[in-house]
Amino acid sequence: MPTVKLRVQRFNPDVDREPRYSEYSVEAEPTDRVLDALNSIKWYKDGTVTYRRSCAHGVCGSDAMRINGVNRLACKVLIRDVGNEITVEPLLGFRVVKDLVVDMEPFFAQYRSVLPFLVNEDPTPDRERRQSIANQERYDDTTKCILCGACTGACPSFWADENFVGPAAIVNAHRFIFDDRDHAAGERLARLNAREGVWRCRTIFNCTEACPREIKITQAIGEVKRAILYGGVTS
Amino acid sequence: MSAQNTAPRGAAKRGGGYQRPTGVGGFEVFSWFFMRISGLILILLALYHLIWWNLIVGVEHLDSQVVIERWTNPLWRFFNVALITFALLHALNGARYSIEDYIRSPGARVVVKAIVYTLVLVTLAAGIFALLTFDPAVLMAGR
Repeated sequence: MPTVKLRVQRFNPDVDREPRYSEYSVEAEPTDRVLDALNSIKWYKDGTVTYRRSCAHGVCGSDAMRINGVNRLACKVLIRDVGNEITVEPLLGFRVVKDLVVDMEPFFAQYRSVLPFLVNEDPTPDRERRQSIANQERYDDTTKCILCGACTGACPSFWADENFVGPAAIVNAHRFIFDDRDHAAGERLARLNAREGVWRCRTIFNCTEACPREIKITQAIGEVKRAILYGGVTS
Repeated sequence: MSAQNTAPRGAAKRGGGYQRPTGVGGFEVFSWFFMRISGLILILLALYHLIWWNLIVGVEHLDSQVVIERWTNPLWRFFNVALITFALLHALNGARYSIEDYIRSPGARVVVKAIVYTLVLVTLAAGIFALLTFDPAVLMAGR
């Protein structure tokens, strides 16, 4: 089995003043994932290496990290796609709690600020709220978000200003703004029209490149900008 | 939708879409729209400017006589006022974006903005003033 070298950024807030790097060699198949290599380190070499992971199948979004400088999910990236020398670092723009674990609370606070849930105060229908296929397709792409933070952690506007609402929150606002069953588009657009809202986006496309779900994030942000400008969308 | 929820919420329209919510608008929307429109206009103006002076007139024939001839046409003066206005305001807004992105201290931000705004607006005023008041006779007399 080939040997893979991993360089892992470490930070223990009780001991370290600055982040440092630890190097490990583990055996891994080219078809193993980077997460498997991290697990080999944690389980057999150094139990202090700390990172988040939960479902390990690209659905829960908890193991987003910088792998060779690019934001990826460790559970989706194969060793053969990143080579045998791999540098693993925490997402940029967030406070590092320990090693690869970052404080995601500011991220979720921005997410909550865009009302990421269906608002419809019409009387509850007897059955489900029906929607045409065409109206669903209008926002289908942005339903794929798993809130991993890879996009927001790749955004230079967010690096520069932690109060920027960030691409992930805009994506989740888009998902409801363009849903014709929802009634709170105006509130979301008012939130996103604020100083730290969509206008901080400089159309850099880092978010689109980083998204492990291949959501067209920059396009979604552009649609939200146009919705604020023109005040109307059609399905 | 129930009546008590009409403000400030944008009313949903059946079949998709919504009405413009109250309170949406403002400077940032305008500035974003201005960047796109002025960018498009600048491509046309700057391309014409480059092609005219460098390919049609030719750099080797470029002298004060050509400038004076062009200046006598009010359309040319209008063209140049538009070019310098859009170029400087587009650049100023871009600089504002960078300042707001990267200067975190509110005090320093005000100072840097004041300096940049003043420099650009004085340059713009001087440029427009020169374009509108330039007197070829003075230039000819100095020869």
